[in-house]
This record gives sequence, structure tokens and C-alpha cells, in this order.
Amino acid sequence: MNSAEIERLKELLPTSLGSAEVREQIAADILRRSVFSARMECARYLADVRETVAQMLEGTLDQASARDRLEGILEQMGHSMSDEGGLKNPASIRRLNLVLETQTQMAASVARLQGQTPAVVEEWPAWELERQEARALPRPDWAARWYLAGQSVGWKGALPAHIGGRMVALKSSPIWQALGDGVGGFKDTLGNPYPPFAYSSGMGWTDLSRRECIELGLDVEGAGMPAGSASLAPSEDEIDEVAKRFGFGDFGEGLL
Amino acid sequence: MELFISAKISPKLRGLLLEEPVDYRKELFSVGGNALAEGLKRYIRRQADLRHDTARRLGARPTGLLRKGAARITWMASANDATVNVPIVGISRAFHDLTIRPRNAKALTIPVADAAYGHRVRELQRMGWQVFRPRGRDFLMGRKDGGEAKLLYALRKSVTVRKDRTLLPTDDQVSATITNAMARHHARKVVSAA
Repeated sequence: MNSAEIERLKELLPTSLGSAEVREQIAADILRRSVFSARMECARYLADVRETVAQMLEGTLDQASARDRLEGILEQMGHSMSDEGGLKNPASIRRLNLVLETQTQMAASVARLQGQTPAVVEEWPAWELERQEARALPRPDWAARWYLAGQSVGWKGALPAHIGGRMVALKSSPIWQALGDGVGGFKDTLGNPYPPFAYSSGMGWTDLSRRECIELGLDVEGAGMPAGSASLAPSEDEIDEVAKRFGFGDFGEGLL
Repeated sequence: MELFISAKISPKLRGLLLEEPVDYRKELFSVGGNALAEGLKRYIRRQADLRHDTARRLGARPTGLLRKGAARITWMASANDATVNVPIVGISRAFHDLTIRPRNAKALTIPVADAAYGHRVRELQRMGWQVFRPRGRDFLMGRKDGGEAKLLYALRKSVTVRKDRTLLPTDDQVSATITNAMARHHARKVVSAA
């Protein structure tokens, strides 16, 4: 399945909750398989986001055009077209960039996870986490995040790194989930064992060959398939059950 | 843009694949697909670092089109092929000239100022710019916060961007990347079986 197909398979999760509340109250697996935008209750808009992101992943729509399209839809819905309010304003340029970038990064990561076969893992047993996209204000704490995540899993399958060292681990290492969970108290993570790990992050994976892994001292014989390659198609019942459990009975337009 | 790797492997490897069972062929194609995807990511990132001419000339921050696209390259394998998806708008310019025409407007807006770079007219207006077209002229100007009017966009009926083969690696590089990876994996399997 390619990344655009994966995006189109996602369910919509209209919600009046903010990002941190969403993460605390809705199961990570449901979030992983849904398109949602904090405090956005309109399912129709989320469906437009999903299709826009799918087209970006097909390479038929650039980011400025994608923003332009969503701005037009938000304007039709009666949103203020002021660019003020930062991330809290669904129509702000910053917020639209965040939604588009996070969704495309996540779909590409899931497509990558689904593509892993025993043969691919045998040839490239590990990933290196490195900066792949420039950011105006890059987080300065990735080395600390790596260190704390590594400590929490006893460096299982991961290269014990001193602050500032290379961030390398087997694809099967639990460090990826720990990093996505924000071990160490990082509140900006997405709960996923794959990039972008945290909101607006420009960090991503590079495959490392078996030879490079051996040179770095990783135990490639212990390499296995990556965890977290969950399906992206939750059933309506699953979402409905979660919605009821957390008391979000009334979603306006309802779950699609 | 999608690249199909079966067309890029050596005839010898293609012959070998025909004799192998379906599952193993898919395994080998997954190795070829991953090798090409990883190679393309590295190549395009390097190319991205060599560019940004327009952004630099305008004093603007690059949009990161190539780097973002490289990070989102994915692939899929089957028993007959692997497809690598390069989600970068206009990447086909690596193979031919590309003529761009407006889809839902009368003219293309080509940014000629840092403020306009990477933004549509509507966005600039949302950011507080008053954008206007001087009568009979083929450009847009704008003013913000009562400041001086500034030239923002040139208006064009179409723009042709010239072919740039360096946007993607050569056919030989692509072919060698795929063939080497698949052949290496096959050799590893043969050695393991022995």
C-alpha cells in the first residue's frame, strides 16, 4: 500500500479537544489511524484534509497549493481568515503547515513500515535518526531525548550514545516507541514509534546497511521486524466505542 | 512520479528472477525498491543543498520542497516489480522541459520578492498585505502596514522550466543501485543455504 492509499484509508476523528487532551484521552492506536485536527469538529473539513494530504503524497499538489485549498474551505465554513492566533487558529498558516506536514510525514512512515520485509531488514537492520528537513527553530534536545529513551529501554537494540553522538538503533528496538512516547517528560510527542515523533519535527529515518551496523557495533543477529506497523483502518465500531467510552457522544456531523 | 524498478535491473538478474519462486521474487524486489528509495533520498537531499537559487536571490527562506519530498519517498513491492514513489511536484523536469499554465486563474503569479516567496496572493492578503495590480501592467504590487508599495509577483500566461537532469540520478546510477542490492541479497541467500 502506498502512502496516499494509507492516508485515504484513515478514519476521521472530529474532536473538540486540544492536542494534549486528545493524546491523553484517546488510544494511541486510534489516533495513529485517524485524521484529526485539534478542536476541529467538522468531519467534512477533515475529509478535505485527508484528500489534500493524499494528493501531496502522490506528488500532484505542493504545500502552498494545499494550504490555499484548505484556506478556501475554512473560509467557506465561516472561519476568520486572519492569520493571528498561531496554532490555535485552524486557518493560520502555521497551523495548516503543521497539519499538512505531520500527516504527510506519518503516512510516509507507515508506508515505510509496511514495506519492511525480512529481506529488507536483513540488508538494512537499523535506522539512524537524523535531521532531514530544515526548521527555523530546530529542537535542541534530540540528543537528550535519545539518551533518556535509550536509558528507559536499557539500550536494547540501540547504540548507547553520549550526548551529541549518532542516534542509531535496530528497526526492532523499543527505543523508537520510547522516543515517540516522549520518555523523559517531553509533552510534544505524537505517541508513534516512527517519525516525525514530535510535532513539527524535521527528524527522520535513514536506513543503515548491515555492514555499517556491524562497524558501529550493533548486534545485527538480534535484528527483527519493526514493531508498530499497525493497520491504519480502524472499524467504525472501534472508533465509536472509544468515543462513547470518553463521553464524546455528540460530534455534530458524526463519525464517518 | 513513480519509478518502476523492473525496467532498471540488469538482463542477467532479470533472467535469474524468472527462475525463482514468487515469494522470493517479491523479497528481492523489496530489496531493490528499498535500495532505490534510500539512494534517491540521499541524492535528492544533496541536490537540495546545492539549490535554493531563487530563495537566495530574493532573500527568502527556502520552502524545502525537495527535502520534504525526499523524506516522503516510499516504495511497494510485488512478485513482478517494485514501484518507488517520489512525491515532488515537478520532478519530471529531470526528464523534459516543463510548461506550467494557470489552472483556476488567468495568470501565474511568479514571486519576485521575499515576502511573496512560497505564498499565494490570498495568503499575503491574510498576512495583512494590500495586493493590487497597476492598470495595464503584468505584475502585482503590495503594501503592508501603510508602508511603501513593493513589487510582489510577476504575472505570466505560462512558464517553461528547463529540463534539469541532475534533479535525479542517472539511469546507470539507478540501475547499479538496484542491481547491486538485489544481487548482494541473492548472494547472501546462496551463501547461507550452502
